[in-house]
Amino acid sequence: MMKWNKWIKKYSTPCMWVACGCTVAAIVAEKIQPGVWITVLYVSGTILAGFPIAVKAIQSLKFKTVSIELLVTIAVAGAFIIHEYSEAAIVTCLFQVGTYLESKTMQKTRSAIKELTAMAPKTAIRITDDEPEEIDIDEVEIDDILLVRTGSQIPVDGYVVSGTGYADQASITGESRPIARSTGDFVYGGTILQSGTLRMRASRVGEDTTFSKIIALVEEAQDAKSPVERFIDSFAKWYTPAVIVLSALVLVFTKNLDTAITVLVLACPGALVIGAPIASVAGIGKAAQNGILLKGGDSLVTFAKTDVFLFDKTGTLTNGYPVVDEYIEYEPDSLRYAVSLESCSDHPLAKAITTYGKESTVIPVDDADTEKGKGMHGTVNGKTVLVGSLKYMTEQHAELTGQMVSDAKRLSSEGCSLVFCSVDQKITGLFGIRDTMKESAKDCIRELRKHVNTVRMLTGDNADTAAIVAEELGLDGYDAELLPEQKLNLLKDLQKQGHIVTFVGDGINDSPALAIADSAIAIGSGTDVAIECSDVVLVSSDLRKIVMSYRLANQTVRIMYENIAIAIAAVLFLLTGLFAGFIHMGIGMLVHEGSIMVVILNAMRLLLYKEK
Amino acid sequence: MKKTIQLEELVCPMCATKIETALKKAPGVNDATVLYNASKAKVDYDETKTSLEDLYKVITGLGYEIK
Repeated sequence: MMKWNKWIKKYSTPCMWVACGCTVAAIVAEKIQPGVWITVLYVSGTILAGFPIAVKAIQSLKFKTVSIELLVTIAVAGAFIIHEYSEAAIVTCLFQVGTYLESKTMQKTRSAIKELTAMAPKTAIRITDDEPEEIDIDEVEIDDILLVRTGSQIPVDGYVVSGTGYADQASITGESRPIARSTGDFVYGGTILQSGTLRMRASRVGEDTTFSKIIALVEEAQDAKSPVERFIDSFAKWYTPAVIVLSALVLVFTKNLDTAITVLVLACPGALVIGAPIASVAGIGKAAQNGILLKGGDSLVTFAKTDVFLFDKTGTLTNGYPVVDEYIEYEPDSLRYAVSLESCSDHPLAKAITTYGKESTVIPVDDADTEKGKGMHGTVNGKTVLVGSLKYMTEQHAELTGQMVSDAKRLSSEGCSLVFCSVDQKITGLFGIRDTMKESAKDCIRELRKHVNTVRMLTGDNADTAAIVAEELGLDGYDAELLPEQKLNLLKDLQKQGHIVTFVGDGINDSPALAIADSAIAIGSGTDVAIECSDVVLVSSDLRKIVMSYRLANQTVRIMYENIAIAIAAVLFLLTGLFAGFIHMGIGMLVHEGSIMVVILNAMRLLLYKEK
Repeated sequence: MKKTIQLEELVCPMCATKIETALKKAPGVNDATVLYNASKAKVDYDETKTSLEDLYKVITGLGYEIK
């Protein structure tokens, strides 16, 4: 049997073309001058195209599976018995050509994920005792120091230990803008270092790298089955043997072998079996190319049905860390003094100020000290500098002018925390600091509201801050000052009212909500927990991808149903045709193979999907 | 021991089912899943009872190639 397999693999395609040649020649010749040699042509066509089919049928039978090939083989044998050589040749040739085209188009549809796996790094340059040495990717171990040169791939996940460069992280996050990486920054394996040279310390290797996990997840997602698909699969298992019984019955009752074998050919469940999976493959593959990991099957179908989106605030809609939103300077050099003093602290607010003023040169500070909950003080250039809250300023006898009071009022109404800076008891500057909205948040909410009725925000933060964020983003509403279990209750209430709820969070402190929601979207760099319990994982933090994944999921599900409808329509058409008497084996096979091509091509539309 | 075997491009979903059933029935195999779209077989087997070569034979015996 092994020998036959090799032979078939090698020659079945050329045989198929020769068989087609024979058959076409016979059809043409038959019109001009009928003769015995035409039968010879048909028979050789049937044998050349039919032999591989028969071998496959027998192989499956050995494992107690009734395959489509078996149906075709029986049908062809039947056709020989009633001397329908032309039908036999046409059926076998069409079947082989169909299978050939299917495999070609199938490869194309699966290409999205293939492109991804092809990008997996294969080698790494390890540095031992300052000597670079090229090694296989599987040999890289945690804490190895690796060298990454310009234009080459970053081999595994890890942290930069020296050097700087720009990394193109498109293969992971779907963002094509190169990102500056220097000492201490995290780099993903599978991304490309566009410029510069880096030395990095490996932190995740082998199957644990983000890249490997993404591939494993996508591969499994593509094979996950929705309820409809599971039904079709179990149906198909019994369907094929049932068709053989049916055709035997037809033979017994009508005594017409021609009709009986036609039933065999017509009832092949090809398009039905392939229609839904091919759509999810294309949809999930397309999403993966854009840094969106969609899980397949049930979760895809449920996600597409979402009518309420709930967002976590901190870290999801906002960046999750405070940033200077506005700075007002009343006296020159104030920023420099403030930055100098604040660089002595690692408080989040101090970090916001030093990040904002990173251009200014830091002056050495004497006696820097922190007043807990109020601020900091120290001596800079012989002057007493204070940075802190309003309360701290008034305590230390620094007075506010009318202008400052109105600035302060405006900033706090915008949801900012206020931090003042004073030099020698005179207020010189005012920082409005807040957790800023992600750039993409507004676009995301606006687009989502075109598709679903309700987009709300849940937060543990205070009501004032929540109100400002909700207003600015145009949300349908918000619930603030929530404890984790209150978040869950709100979610459950919505579900009880019959809503399909998708929860969007960063997977850090909202895993319970992610787990309970009908569908969950985790944003971030693919942490393990987030990947485990969510249905959609966005590797980048670009919220616009939520809209894209929602649209893609809907389109994928729609195409799945379209394909099932096309398949059923084809079968119904064939059966009606059979009983009305205008369908014979040859045409039957043509319609059958045609319907398979139609569903594959329909699914390929997903690969062309473009975000408006 | 868990291993992933890369198969030739699987065309019909039935092929995946066929390989999966055959692998599951093979001696020494605890569990097997065939990912149809990725054309990969994930096998969990007892290396004292069977070997990767034996598993390859099961697959090639069905008429499928291993990459």
